[in-house]
Amino acid sequence: MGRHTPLLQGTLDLLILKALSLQPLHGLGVSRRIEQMTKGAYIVRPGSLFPALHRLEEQGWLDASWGDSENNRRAKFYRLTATGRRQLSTETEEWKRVAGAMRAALESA
Amino acid sequence: MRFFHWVRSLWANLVHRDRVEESLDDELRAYLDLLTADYQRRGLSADEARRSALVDIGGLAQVKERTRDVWAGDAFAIGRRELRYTWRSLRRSPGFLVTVVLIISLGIGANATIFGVIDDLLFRPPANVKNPDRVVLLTMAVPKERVGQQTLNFPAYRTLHTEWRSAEVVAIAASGPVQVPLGRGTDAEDVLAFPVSASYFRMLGVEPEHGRFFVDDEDAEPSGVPVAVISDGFWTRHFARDREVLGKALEIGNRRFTVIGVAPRGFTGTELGRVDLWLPITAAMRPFVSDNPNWQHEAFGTYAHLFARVRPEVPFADAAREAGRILANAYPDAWWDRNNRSPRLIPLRVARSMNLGTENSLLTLLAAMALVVLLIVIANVASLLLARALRRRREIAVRLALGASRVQLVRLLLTECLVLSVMSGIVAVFVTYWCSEAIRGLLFGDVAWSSSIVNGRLLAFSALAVVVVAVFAGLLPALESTRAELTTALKAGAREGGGQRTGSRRMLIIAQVALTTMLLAGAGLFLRSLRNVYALRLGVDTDRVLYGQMYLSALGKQPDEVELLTRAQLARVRALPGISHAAVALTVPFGPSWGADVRLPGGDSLPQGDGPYLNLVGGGYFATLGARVLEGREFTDVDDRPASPRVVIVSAAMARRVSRGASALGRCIIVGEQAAPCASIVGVVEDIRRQQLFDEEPPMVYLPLAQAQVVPRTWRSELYLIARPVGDAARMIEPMRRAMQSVAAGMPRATVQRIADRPEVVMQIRQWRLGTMLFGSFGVLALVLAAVGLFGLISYSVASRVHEIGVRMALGARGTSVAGMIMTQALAVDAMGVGAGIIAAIIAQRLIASLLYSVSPYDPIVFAAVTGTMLLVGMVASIVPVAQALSIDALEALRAD
Repeated sequence: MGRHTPLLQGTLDLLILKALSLQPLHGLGVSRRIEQMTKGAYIVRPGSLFPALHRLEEQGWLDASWGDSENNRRAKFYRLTATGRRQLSTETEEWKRVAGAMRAALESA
Repeated sequence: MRFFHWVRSLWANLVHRDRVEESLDDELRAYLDLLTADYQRRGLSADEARRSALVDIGGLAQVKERTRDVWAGDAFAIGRRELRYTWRSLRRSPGFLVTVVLIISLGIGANATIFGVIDDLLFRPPANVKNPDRVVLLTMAVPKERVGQQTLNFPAYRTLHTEWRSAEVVAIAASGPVQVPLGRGTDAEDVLAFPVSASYFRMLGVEPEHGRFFVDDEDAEPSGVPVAVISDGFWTRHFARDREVLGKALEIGNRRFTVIGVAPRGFTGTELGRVDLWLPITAAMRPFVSDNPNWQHEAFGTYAHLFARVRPEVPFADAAREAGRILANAYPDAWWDRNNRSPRLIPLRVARSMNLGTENSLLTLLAAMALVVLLIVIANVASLLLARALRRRREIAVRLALGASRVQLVRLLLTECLVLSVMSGIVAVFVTYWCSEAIRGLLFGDVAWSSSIVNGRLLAFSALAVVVVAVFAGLLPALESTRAELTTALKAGAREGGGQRTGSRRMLIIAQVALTTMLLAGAGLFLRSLRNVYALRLGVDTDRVLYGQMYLSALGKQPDEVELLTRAQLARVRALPGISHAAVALTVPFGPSWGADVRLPGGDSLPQGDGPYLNLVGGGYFATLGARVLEGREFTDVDDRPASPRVVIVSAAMARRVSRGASALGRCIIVGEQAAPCASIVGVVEDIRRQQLFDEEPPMVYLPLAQAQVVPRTWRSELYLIARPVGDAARMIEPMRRAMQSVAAGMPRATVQRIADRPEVVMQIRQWRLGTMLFGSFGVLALVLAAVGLFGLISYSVASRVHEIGVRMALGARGTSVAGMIMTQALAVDAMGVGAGIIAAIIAQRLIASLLYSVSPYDPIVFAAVTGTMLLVGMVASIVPVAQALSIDALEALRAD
């Protein structure tokens, strides 16, 4: 299955929001984009992906509509909503703060 | 915003579930297709690409399931799949389906019935009354008595009406609806009239549906104006809701009352019972409320209820104290005001149900019992479901092995229970309807129910009960049966079920038997109380004696005429075939009563207050009642002549007062005015109840009616007839009524009733009848359920031990020892339940002790009978399983493997 890093709690949602920040994507697109963004460190399986997509949709951060994919297969495309975009920036800030703090803590001698 | 989203998806998930499911399907299929295309692009063949894509996804069903789990409200959404599956599996076992639905619907029906009665009697505010919480009944609290003195009189009303500052409005009304004769001759009938002051409607804040209510001038002393307000029901029955009804006349007695208004539908005001019409109390005072011609001024008698609307800012206690001061000032000598009696204000809601004779604690107890029945039902259904689930362990184990999650399986089993409960809930509505009809008819015939039996509150209650049963009865079996022990269940040769797993079922059955024992003990105690009440020696056979009454004075007849007419009626009644005794009397047991001034020659009057009481009777009065003459003799028709020697009969309690130990016979007492001649005591009769069923031994004196010149003539303005039929008294009611009415042309309708049916008696016995009937039906229901439960447990245990029993029999065990083994098992469970039940009943006796009548809550007879019954039931329940066990063919059983 290859080596990949286990996801930290809560990071999947952030990754999905980030993946969708450039353009609307369908499920497979989201998982490809995440793989690409993390340079292959994270591979999101459908068993985690779809529950997360549906949860974010119910929370109002994503919007979904049916459209045509690259090879003309109809697929469900997810798009960030305005609240989703706000959520992305607050979570990014939060993440940076945590990551900075962690790095500072771990690198202090 | 987020909440709005959530609600929208909840709606979609629950209501458009199929669309949501379809969308998920499409989405995953698209994912699969796109992934396949990806692999193909990388050079795999179509087949290989498809296979790799499927491997990547790792089980479509699981993905779907995990996605569904995040959907809003998913826990509530029972898929069509589950419903379809449940329905199919239930249809395969119709016996189980019918049994469970029957059990649950009876349990819910019993609860809903009690809920309906209590809701209507105790919790519904009186219809059409504005702000009923400020309306009170003024009673005189008597130290150490719970109910106290509820009636007062007109002068007290007049005083409070003008002086009581704490009250916004004060009103007076008869102590209950009065049966009055309407019309004469063949069209004559009885209607329920309620004499009230003009302030009554104002006090309640009710508005007429049509026309108007009384104005003060129509209720002015001394005799008011003959006008009437009719009820909505009476308007419908008599006038077909004709708007022109205003101005029509109703002939009541010798007066014609003009209809001036119609009360709104359902309005019964301060009463729980039906009211046909309201009359101004000053116009209807005589003879319907009081016979006293001096009612305007005499404050001695008590005959009417005083109500008030207390000002919003005044606490009831302050208002009561003020009323106490006013009454004590105005009536320093009134007996009802002395001996530490003081006004107490009782809120209308309580006052209305007070005279039902069912203490609220009894209704509460019945509600608790209904809940116990529901618990039994839950235990029973849980054990049936558990048995069924255990039989399906193989299937469940296979499902678990195939990857179904435990949550899914629990949901499936809960779905089954929910489906059963909902079906039962529907059946329960019918059960409730029939039960409520029966209770309303048999026990509360005198109540005008403010709501129909099936109403919104009752349906809401039943729905709640359905959910409770579904959750509690379904959860235990669901959890128990899905406990993962895959290997044992799957192992070939493991019996369907397996003997060790009956533990929780046994506990459920023991609990059931215990609760049933408690209920039966309660039923037994109430039954013994009821029998004790019926066995009370009242001095009158209330169910064998008829009394007849005709308001002749209301026709304007003078006392002498009344007496003549009544004696003529007596002759006709006596001539009826089927009447063994009949007599005329001033009053009857549980009727109105008259205080008497009684003196010994040369001595002072005996103090009044609690007697002595007077009755004027004709020859044969005591024989007609069935009262025992203890000494001397009863009056004959010869005594009942004006010129005969002066004679008197006294009650045992009176005899003790007169002679203090020695025989009272032959002594002389003076009854009535100072100058009255001395009458000699010719007989002593046992104490006959005056108004109370219990603990009443009123001192009474009886004079022959014809020798009654010693009491004011006006007292004799109304007379009663009593008659003792040979057989069933109820059959003679119509003949007696016709005989009384045929005495002259143009007579009003006579009221003829068994004394036992007088409201005063019905009310006093109701508590035990209600208790016996409901405890009894609950008990029988519980008994049947317990028997079914025991039977199920034992027969299940036999079925799962076929192999073992076969081996035993093959090894030479006798039928009797096998039967003994099974019986012992059944009786052990039974006995444990009975023991627990008796202990629980003894602990709970405090709740019931005060509601019993001369029965100890530990009554050994009751407990012995209950124990016997329960053990018998245990034995009966194990007969069939024993027969099953004995019919086991050892060879067959062993070959089955």
